[in-house]
Amino acid sequence: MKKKLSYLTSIGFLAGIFIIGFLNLKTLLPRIKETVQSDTEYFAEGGARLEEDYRVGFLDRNKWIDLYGLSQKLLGREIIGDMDFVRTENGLMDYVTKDTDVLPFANEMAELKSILDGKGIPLLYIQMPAREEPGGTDPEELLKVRKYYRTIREVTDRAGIVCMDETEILAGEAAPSTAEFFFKTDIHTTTEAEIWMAGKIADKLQELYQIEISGVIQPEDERFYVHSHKFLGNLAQSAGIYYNGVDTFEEYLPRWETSFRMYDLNGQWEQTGSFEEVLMNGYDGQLELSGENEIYTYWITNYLKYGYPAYRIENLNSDGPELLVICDSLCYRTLSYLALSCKSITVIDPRFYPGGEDNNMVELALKDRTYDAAMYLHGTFYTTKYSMFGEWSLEEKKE
Amino acid sequence: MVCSSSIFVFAFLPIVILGNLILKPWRGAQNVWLVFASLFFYAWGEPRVVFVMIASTLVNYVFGLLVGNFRENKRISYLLLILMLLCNLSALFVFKYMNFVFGIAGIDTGEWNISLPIGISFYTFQAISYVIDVYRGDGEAQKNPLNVALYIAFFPQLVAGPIVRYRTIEEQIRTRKETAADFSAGVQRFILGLSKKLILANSFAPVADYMFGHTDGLSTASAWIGAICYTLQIYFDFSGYSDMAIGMGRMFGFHFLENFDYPYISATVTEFWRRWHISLGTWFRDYIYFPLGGSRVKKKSRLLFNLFVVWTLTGIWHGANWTFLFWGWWYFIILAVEKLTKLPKWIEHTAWKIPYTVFTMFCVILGWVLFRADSLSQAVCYIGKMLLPAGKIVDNLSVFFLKDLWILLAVGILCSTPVFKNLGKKLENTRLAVPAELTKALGYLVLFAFCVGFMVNSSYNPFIYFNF
Repeated sequence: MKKKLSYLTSIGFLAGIFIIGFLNLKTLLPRIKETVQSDTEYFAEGGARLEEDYRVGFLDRNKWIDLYGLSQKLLGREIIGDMDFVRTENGLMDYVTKDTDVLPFANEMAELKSILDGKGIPLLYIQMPAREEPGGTDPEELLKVRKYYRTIREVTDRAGIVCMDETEILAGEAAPSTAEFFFKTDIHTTTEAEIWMAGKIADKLQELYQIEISGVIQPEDERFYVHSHKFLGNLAQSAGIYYNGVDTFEEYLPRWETSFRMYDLNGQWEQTGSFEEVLMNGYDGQLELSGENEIYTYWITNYLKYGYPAYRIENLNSDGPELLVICDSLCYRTLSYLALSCKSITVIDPRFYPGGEDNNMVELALKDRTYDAAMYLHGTFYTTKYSMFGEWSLEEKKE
Repeated sequence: MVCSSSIFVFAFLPIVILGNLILKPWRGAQNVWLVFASLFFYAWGEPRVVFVMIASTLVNYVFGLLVGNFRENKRISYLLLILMLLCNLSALFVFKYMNFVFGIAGIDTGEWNISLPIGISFYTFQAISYVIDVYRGDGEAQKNPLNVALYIAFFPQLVAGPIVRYRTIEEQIRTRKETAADFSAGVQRFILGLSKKLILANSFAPVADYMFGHTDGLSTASAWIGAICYTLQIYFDFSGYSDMAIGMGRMFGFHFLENFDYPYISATVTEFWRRWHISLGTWFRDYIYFPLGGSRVKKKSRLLFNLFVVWTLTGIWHGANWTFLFWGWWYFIILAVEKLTKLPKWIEHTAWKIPYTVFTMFCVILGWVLFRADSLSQAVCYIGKMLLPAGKIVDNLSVFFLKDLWILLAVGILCSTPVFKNLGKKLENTRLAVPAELTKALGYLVLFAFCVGFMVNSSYNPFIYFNF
């Protein structure tokens, strides 16, 4: 009897490896065949690439990852993968901060101030809050955001650049807490936080430079239709839905008629239409999505133009200010909501400069144009690894 | 290809099992199938270097035949043995030690920087073992080169052992029996090994890597956490792989000897080396230590010399770095003391056993720090952090890692003892035997399911002993 019971394992094992193996083969073989036909170097180093494609294309991979996440939750782990992600004291997941050099960026900020001063354009530098609780026990050896922020501030303060940081952003009773500010499974901020940021930026520009931005979106703003999605962010894609739960992603869609034009500063493309059509990449409601289609949709990139170096958003129905913003994706919704109250917002992302001779998107943006204010906004250190004037990337600078 | 990858478990293994089953009526064809599967397995990750292994197999096949033919002529067979050793050790030297030796001599190998073929230490020792066993008359030379290839290159134990002795496998190559009971036991063993590797070893590894990669800033607590994590990582990594190898061997009707026997419960360092990497220890014992005279020598200086040779070779077998040599000498010193003082015998039934067990574990952990460090200076620095707290003893980092690891550490420490095995034995003849067996059978399947999650989630899958 005991021997027969032990056969259960081998029956289950064989059934598993044969059935799943067969189904994997059925799904992956055509894809791999296509890749191999187009890439003659596919097997140049043995089967490493096939092995990786097999792993990534594994049947129901998301469900297996959920199981992995469940095991990590049962084991009480705060670290996921090869020190890729950690869970902070306040329950948010975060990247382990990679070592980086922020001084080149800080020096460029001083240079940017100098250029903008020459054009009479005021500059606001925004350091988004760090994900871990200030004064908490999360080790700075792993989460170095505040350390790098301090290094940058030493230079920017000396250069006289006004900075709005987390002490100001999260100040006040009405302010969201750090845990409410960010998605717990994604590096980005919650919609509530982005709405909060829109208000803070408007208030700050008013306070500093008397720039009026009226009708800025408010929390629970009835002028907007709100739709919620379940969302598993980029920090938890390798931990699954059970490890740290899923987030709720809120879309605020204006109830009134809107008209926008968005175009590439290099003249390569142009879009016109409503808020949803232009600023939300043609968002078509997507109300009926459910299950995996909902949870694994990356709602963040519904907004603006991730991957593009320089573009301008024009609100054809507004007489508000014109802003220049150099930023990472930590404010895409903020800028979308501000665009409802601004005449134009020009967005620059140094990560995606095209290279070559005309690589200075800041210069391009400032050419024959002025702005009521300029902002540099970042939360992570992705944009700081690339020259905003298109002159270097961090790897080149080190050489 | 590693045995803990999804493509191995769900593509390679089912195909090999199926082919092996179909060819069951034809033993010869079965062996051929397993040989070609093994070559494919090796070539998957090392497409160019597979020819080194094939060449090693052929060379040792020829030597086996020659030594077998000339066994009656002591002089010729001895010369052939020496030649065989020169060939095998030369290959090992070129691929594994040349860069190191040239480095010491200040010679820049430049373009001749040769990369280490995976598993070369394992299959070279296996090949040497084959010819020596033929020479000693412990086994007959194989006429069929594919049988030699199967012995040397069989994929379950090809890249990380256990080092299988020819005499234990000779009969099984020709006349093994594949039973459902063996297959079942093999599957359970394979899943156990997979779980040890993926769930435990791969979880300790990033923490150990982090600590050893940031030695300078470590607090005492962090240094100890890193050392303990590595101690557990290397055990579950290596014993896990051995379990997988033994399990897979059993699925195909082969019975390999055990390679680990809960080494971390050892009361003495002598006992530790009877429980850790048993196949390597016994290889050095049978082929180096005993021929030198072993412990049965008249002079203590000769005993020390014999031990020194074995532990120098053990250290250097693991890698071409001073850290491995010093690691070997670390054990030479402790074992020499234990042997000369006959310490294991006199503490056995005394109150000193427990403190000495703790001391043994302390020595083992320090040894692993030497083993893991990239250089002697790093090892000294790391051990200094552990033993001589100059800066912080506990910091936010160590608290964070403890919070992260405490359950895993408890599970790891528990699983490195025979608690579950003994529990199973206790329940065997009780009325709980059947529910226990059912729980065990289903438990293995649950473990396997979790392992699949680990396999497909991340490409992070380090294998320490692949470096040897």
